[in-house]
Amino acid sequence: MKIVRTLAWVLLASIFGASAGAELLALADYSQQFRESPNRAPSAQFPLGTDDLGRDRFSRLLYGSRVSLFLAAAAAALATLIAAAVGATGGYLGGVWEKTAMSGTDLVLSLPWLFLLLAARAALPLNAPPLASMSITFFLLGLLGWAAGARVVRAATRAVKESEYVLQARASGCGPFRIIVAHVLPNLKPVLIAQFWLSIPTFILSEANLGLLGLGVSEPMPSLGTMLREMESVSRIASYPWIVAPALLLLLVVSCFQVVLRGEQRPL
Amino acid sequence: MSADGSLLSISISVDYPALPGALRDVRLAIQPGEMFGLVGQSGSGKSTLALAVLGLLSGRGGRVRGSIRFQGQELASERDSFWRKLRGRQIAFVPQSSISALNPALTLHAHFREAWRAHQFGKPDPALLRELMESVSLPGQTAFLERHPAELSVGQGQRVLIALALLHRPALIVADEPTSALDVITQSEILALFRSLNRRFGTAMLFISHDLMSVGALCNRIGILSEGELVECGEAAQILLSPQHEYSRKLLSALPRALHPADLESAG
Ligand SMILES: Nc1ncnc2c1ncn2[C@@H]1O[C@H](COP(=O)(O)OP(=O)(O)OP(=O)(O)O)[C@@H](O)[C@H]1O
Ligand SMILES: [Mg+2]
Repeated sequence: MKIVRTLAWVLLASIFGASAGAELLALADYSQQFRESPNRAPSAQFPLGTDDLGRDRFSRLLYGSRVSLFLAAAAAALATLIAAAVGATGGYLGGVWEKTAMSGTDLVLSLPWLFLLLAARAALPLNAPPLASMSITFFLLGLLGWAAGARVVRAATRAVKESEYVLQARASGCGPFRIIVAHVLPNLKPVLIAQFWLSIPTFILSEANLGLLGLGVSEPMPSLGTMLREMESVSRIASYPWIVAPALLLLLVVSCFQVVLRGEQRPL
Repeated sequence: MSADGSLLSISISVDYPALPGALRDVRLAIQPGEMFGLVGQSGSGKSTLALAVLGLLSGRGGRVRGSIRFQGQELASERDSFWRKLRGRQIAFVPQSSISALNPALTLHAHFREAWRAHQFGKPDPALLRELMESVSLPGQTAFLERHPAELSVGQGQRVLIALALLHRPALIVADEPTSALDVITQSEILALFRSLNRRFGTAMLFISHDLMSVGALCNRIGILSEGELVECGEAAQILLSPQHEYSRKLLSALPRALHPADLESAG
C-alpha cells in the first residue's frame, strides 16, 4: 500500500510539475495554428497530434492541466474558507444563526444548479476573454462548492464546542468569536485540509462539466474541461484515439488524489 | 446574607431538562480570602454548582433559579456579556482534567495569550508569565511555554491551569476536583501550592472535591452536598470531628480507619 501511495505522490508531483513548467516542455504555443496540418496523428513534432485548427494537442494538454489544476486549487481554497466561516459560526453560535446558516447551506445544496448555470451562461457575453472566463469559473466553483464542506465543519465544530477546553476558554472570559478563531479553527485544521484536498478533484471534474455548458474557460485558452469536449462522439474517438489523453490524465489525477487522501485521512 | 461583606453568596436551585432539581435551594457564602471546601459523592451536583457560579450552566442546558451575589452585585439575572467580564478576571476556574482542559492545538503560550486578550489589550508581559510559572513551580522559559499540552505530564498540566487561573489575580478561584486526576504525592504538592497562593495573594477559593481528607487539610469551612442538597455547612474541624447530618457521618465513616480525624485527634 505504501508503494502505491508513494507512486501516487510521485505521479501527482510530476503532473503538477509538468503543467507548471509547460513553457519548457511544450514544443509549440498552445494557440499556434498549424493550418496545413489539422487533425494529425501523433508524431515527433506533435506528440499527441493536432486538433481541428492544427494546434499542438500535447502543448494544449500541458497548459490545460495547468489552468484546471490552478483553478481547482484556488476555488478549493475559496470554498474551504467559506465552509469554515459558515460551518464554524453555525456550529458554535447555534440558535438563530445556526438555523440561518444551515438553511443557506441546504439551499445551496438543493438548488437546481443546472438551470441556474444555463441562465447564467445566457446572461454572459457569448465569448468572454480567457481571464474573465477563468475568474467566472473560479467564483462559480468556489461559491457553489462550499456547502457540503460547511456541513462537515459544522459537525466537527459541535464536537469541539462540547470539549472541556472550550469550556475552559469560556471560563477564562473569552468571547465567542475569539473562541471560534483561536480555539475551534486550529482544532479543525485536519478537517479543513482534508476538505481542501477533497475539493480539488471534484472541482477539476466540475470545471469540465461547466465547460460542457459553455461556462468554463474560453478559447483559445485550453483546460481539461474544454479538451474533454472534443470526445463528444464515439466515431471521433475511433478515428482519433489519442484525443482521450485529457480524460486519461484527469482519471489519473483524480485517482492519485484518492489514493493519497485515503492514506492521509486519520480518524479525528 | 449578601450585605455582610461576603465575596460570594449564593442561594440557588438548578434544573436540567432531564433532571429537574439537580440542585435544590443550595445556600452558601464565601468570605474574601476564605478557603471553602465542597464535598459530595459523584453525581451530587458539585460541578453543577461550580458552573452555576461561573455563569456557564446555560451552555450545558442547565437553568439557574435564585440569587448569585458576587462582591455585593446580583449576577443571576445578568446577560452572558456581563458574566464574561468577570470570568477569568474576578472568578477563575480550575477544572478537573488538565489533559482535556488544555487545547491540544495550542501552545501553552497561546493559552496565556488568549486568556490575557479576554480582558486586556496586547500580549501578556513575558516577565509576568515567568513569575506566574515560577509561582506554580514550573519552568518559566520561553522553550517551556512553546510546548503543546501533549508534551506535559498531568501534574504539569494542572499547574499550567492554575497559573492560567492566576493570570488576572482573581478574587475567587473555583476549583472543581483539581487534584483527583493526580497521584497522591502530586496531589499534596498541588494542595500545598493552593495554600501558599491563598496566603500570598489572599485569593478566596471554592475547592470542590469528593475527597474529604484533602478538603479537610485545605479549607476553613466545609459544605457537604448530597443529591443536590447542601446537607451540612460549617467549620471544617467541627464537621470532621462531629458531623451532624447522617450523610456526613456516612461520608466520614467511609474513610480508612487509620485516617479518621477523630482518631488522629485523640492520637495527637
Ligand atoms: N447537562 C446535563 N443534563 C442533564 N443532567 C445533567 C447534566 N449535567 C449533569 N447532570 C446530572 O446532574 C447531576 C449532578 O451532576 P454533576 O456533574 O454536577 O455531579 P458531580 O457532583 O460533579 O459529580 P462528579 O463527582 O462525578 O463530577 C448528575 O445526576 C448528572 O447526571
Ligand atoms: Mg463533577
